[in-house]
Amino acid sequence: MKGYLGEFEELVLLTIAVLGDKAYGVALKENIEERTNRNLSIGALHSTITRLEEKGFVESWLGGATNERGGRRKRFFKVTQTGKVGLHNMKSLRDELWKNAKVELAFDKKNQA
Amino acid sequence: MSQRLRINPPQLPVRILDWYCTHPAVEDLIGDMDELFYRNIQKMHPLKAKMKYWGQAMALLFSYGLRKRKQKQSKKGYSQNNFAMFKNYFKVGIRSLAKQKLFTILNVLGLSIGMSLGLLALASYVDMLEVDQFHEKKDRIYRVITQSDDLRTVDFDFGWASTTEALAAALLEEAPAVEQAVRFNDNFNENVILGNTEIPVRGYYTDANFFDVFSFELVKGNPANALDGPFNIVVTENTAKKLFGNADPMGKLITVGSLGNFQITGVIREAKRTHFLFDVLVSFETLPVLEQQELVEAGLGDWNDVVSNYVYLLFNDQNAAESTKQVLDKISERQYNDPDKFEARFYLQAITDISTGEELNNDIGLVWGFWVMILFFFLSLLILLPACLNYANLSISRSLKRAKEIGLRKVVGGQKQQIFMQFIIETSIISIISLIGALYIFVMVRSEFKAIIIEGARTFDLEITTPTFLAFLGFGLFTALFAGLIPAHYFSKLNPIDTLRGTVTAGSLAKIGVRKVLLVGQFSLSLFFIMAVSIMLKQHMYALTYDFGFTKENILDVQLKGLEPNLVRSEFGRLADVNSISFSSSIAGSWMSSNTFFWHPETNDSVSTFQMYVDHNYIPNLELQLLVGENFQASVPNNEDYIIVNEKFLEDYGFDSPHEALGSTVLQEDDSPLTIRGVVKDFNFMPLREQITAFCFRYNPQYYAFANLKITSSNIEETLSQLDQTWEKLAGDITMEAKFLDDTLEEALVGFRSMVKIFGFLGILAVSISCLGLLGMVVYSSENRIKEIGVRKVMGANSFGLTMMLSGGFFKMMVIACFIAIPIAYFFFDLLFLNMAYYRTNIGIVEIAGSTAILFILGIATVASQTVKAARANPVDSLRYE
Repeated sequence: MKGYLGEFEELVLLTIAVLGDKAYGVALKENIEERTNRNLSIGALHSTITRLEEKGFVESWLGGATNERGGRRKRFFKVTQTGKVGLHNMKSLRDELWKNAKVELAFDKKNQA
Repeated sequence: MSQRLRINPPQLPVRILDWYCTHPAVEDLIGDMDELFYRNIQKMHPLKAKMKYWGQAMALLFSYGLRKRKQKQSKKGYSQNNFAMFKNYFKVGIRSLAKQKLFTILNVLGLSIGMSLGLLALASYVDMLEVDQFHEKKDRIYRVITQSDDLRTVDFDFGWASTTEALAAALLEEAPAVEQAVRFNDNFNENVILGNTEIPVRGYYTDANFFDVFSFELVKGNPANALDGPFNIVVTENTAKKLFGNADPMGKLITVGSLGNFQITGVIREAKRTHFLFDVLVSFETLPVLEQQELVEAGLGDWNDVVSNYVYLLFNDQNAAESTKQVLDKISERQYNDPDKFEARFYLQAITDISTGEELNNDIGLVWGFWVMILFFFLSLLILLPACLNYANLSISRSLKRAKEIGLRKVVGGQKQQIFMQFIIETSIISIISLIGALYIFVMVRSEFKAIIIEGARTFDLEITTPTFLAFLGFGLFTALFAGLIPAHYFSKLNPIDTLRGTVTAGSLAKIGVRKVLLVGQFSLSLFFIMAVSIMLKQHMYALTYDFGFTKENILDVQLKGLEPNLVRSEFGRLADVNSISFSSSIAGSWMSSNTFFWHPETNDSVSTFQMYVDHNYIPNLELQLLVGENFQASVPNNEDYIIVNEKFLEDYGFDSPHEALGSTVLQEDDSPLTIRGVVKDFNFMPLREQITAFCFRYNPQYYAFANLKITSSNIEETLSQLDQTWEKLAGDITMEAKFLDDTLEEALVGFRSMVKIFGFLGILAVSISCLGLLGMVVYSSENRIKEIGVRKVMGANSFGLTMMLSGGFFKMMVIACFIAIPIAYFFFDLLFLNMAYYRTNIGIVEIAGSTAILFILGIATVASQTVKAARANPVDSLRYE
């Protein structure tokens, strides 16, 4: 489905937004791994980014040559306007669902844990 | 830690990724992986980090992201071969070709020669594809072809283009898909007698619906009924012009040989691109009438005659062939139910497949044949290949000069593919220039080629039309790719550091001796063709001087054309220059079709015997040698009851000696007895191609077709004009046709002369290409060794010694070529001659030595032209270069 944002895709997209102008492969990977406590392969990450690019949510460019990685350039990512719209849609959908939930979703984390 | 940092990620996965997706597309990914690796290495054991690296690489390799990148890249193309670069390649190519003039000239010449034969093959092929494409209903027209199995003879499994005439009616009745059937009979081969001229015409008897099925254009007359009714004839425009000039031929009566008068009911436009070959079309309804008058044998309604007639079918549906085939099988099963007798099966062949299809016996018109075409293309490649390899070889030989340019290109970012492209384009420029040269050669040999395939001139005009031109252009580019592949690959792989440092060693081809193999191969090929020409010429000479067993000089064979033999004898006999006159039904030493079978009552076997009707003067006139018995007698009534046989007949029939046979009576198949009156020594009554078989002379004035005049004349022109005058008195308007026997026999050798021409042409092509290749090799090898020669000279070597040193290697290659080519040529022609001529010459030492000598003279002249110059050069000049 065009424009549909999967769970992991949303995660990657938000992380790109979080990292701002330092969003490139390794940074994304480590950031996501840190937050979600799960292991990511570069292949999976880049596949998702490729899908996001195809949907027009993300754009990328090559940075300049670097010293720390054998002179190889980094590819940086940025959330596009479409990406922002997509995130907004997702968020408002969630907010609406939260608001209309018949069950009380709010609870005290400390008590539950 | 600093030690640990020096550990690098494994190279292989990087290479794999680079290879899979080209480096620029995966650069950032590999960068990410490297970065992770360097981080990991601080946390874990290097081996584990490397394992992880591998894991990442593999995950990437099969990931969606990478696949997409690869796709995108193949679509857009990362390489910079855009218009500007092409322009640059083109410019650089032109400049480098202009700079290396000798190289360019050698290659253009070589490729032109190499491509010329290919152009000829292509043009023929394109012409052939057009054959019979003009019929509007071509998708639905099929021909019935026949596979016969005559169990009474040893010949079996004969594929015929013809079929039985009875099939047409049977199919129309039984096969619902058959809309129309057109019958052909191709035995119309007559002379039209018109006023004082006599014009030979060939054509077909065919059905009235001919114009309905085939799209031939009728210029005059009504296509619906032009061929309706007996003795109607349709002529081609050319024939009409020959017969009547510019007068309107419609409705005129023409007298055709002995067949009677025909009325012209139509004029048909000459169609070039068809397998039918005719001057006239005669209504099929004429045939039964003629057959009734016993003027022709057409085999009408005879299921066992599959050679006289042809049947073409028009289906009502394109896909009806299959269902009709079943009907054909049914008919064949029904008609040929006696297993011991003649048997035939029928097949269908689409009209558009005829000209390119398999070769069948008794074909109706011109068919080129699938295998002939394959052979033609094979020969073209055989000539083209050495030319292309020459190009590759020469290009690489001069790599020393070109390498710096490549190195520089690579240093400033030129990719392999770009260098590759550059050389392919350079080769394309050369090959397009060569195409012009090849076209020139093509135009020059075109008419000669058409002359060799005599009948082909009608189908093959070999004009350069748009499709032909496109085919040529495609061929040129194909050649470019073919020739440019090896050098382009070689140059694109050059190491830029080596090239700039000047340490490039001569081409890889040279290292492994491919170059030598190439030259040896070329020389072998050339020698083969030279030998072919000399062997063919020898066989030709052999046949010309062969003793046929009869005298062939000064015998003039005059066609009787229905004149009374006695009248001819008395009138011509009056001329002083005519020594003696005899009569015969055919000409000795040429093809003979009349044969009969003699029945042997004891062995219950029959002897197939060729026969010739002659008069009593024939044997002395041709100086045939009568071994025993006597000749036919003049003015005796019972001459017809006797035969004179040859020695082979005695052998076949089972007589032990000529004397035993003398006076014996032999029975023909129809039980009529003939008595052997004499035995002649074996002589070649057929062309040399055929073995002498059983033969007999018979006596019957009714069958005489030729008067054989023995002439002794000091002025042949005058004698001929005297003969002409005498003929005119006898025959009036009919022209005399006469030919000397030795001329007739020489004409039979036209096949050999064609072979000599073909092999001569191939030989010239092959030899020129090899010599050009050799010249290029010598030029560059002496150039590369110029300093060595200089040093040797300074140290005291003389010019002669140096020349020998430089030429020695090439000389060796030519010797090797001889050892390869001579046995191959010897066995090839030994085998070929078995099929071409029963009476043949041997391949002697003279031909082999002569051919080899020609090759060596050419080769040595080529080599010496360069090496002598190199060896004589002043060492000061060559050494000062430093």
